[in-house]
Amino acid sequence: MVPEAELSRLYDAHAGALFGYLLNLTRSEADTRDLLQELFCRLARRPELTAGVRDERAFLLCMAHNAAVDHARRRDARQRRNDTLAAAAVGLFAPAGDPDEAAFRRELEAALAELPVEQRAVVHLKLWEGLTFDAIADALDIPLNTAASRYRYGLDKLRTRLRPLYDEIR
Amino acid sequence: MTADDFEKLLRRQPLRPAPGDWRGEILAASRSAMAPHEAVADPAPWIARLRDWLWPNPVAWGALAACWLATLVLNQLAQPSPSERARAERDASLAAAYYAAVRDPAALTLLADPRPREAAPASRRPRPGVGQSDGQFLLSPV
Repeated sequence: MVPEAELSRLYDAHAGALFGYLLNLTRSEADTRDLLQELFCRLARRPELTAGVRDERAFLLCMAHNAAVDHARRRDARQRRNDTLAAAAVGLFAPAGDPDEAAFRRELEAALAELPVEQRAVVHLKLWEGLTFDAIADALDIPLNTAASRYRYGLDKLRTRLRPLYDEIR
Repeated sequence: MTADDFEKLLRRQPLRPAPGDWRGEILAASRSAMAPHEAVADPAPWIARLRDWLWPNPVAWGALAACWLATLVLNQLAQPSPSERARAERDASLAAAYYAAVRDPAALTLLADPRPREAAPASRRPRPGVGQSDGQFLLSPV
């Protein structure tokens, strides 16, 4: 298998999901781009990483998660600035034509930004990647019950935060 | 709102796709990251297979190899020197001669009393191995 063609295939198949996940975790498009490039450079240097992997998407999301965690540790000096950035809109969701939909997506993005990153990761993987709690626990290297409880707490916070808007647009 | 409806609503919100111009840039950067790796001559297939086989625990395999090397070195150091070996061979030949003497009653008699004696009647001479062990024979009067 030609590594270059394989890289292109991996990009076309998974870059969208990795972009969304990294953007949700880092809340910065520049950091997301750096991390995505770092991830694909790593895959280019070591193509054997994905050999024999059962669930390619889950594996790459796990790599992306680890890269985001490492990145967060490295940027300690810039923590304060990024905390303020976290609340800013980064365009996590596709633009909506309907104003109510657009408002809901903006509020959802802001509500997600308020979640602790651990809960945000689980909520994202469950809702938008459709992973099972087993797969999430494997990808994030946490116990199954922890994954389930983080999802429940995160979803409760989102529901509380979005209830007025949800009732309005329903 | 039920939990199920709320989850369904959230799932329906589409994520923004990655910017289109990123694809070319990221794949180009990946290719350049790949270049130095490919510039190095590919290892022989057997080396690649060995590397793949050892990869899961390279430290463990390295430690095992170090243990084998240490064992080999200690084994070499424990070998006797030529003088020790010559002495051991001399001691072994002496032991063999002594053992042969012990097994031979005539030689033992000669060793115990080297003076010439008249030959004893054959009927009175003790016969080795009949009712006496070698140890008993050694203690019996000549």
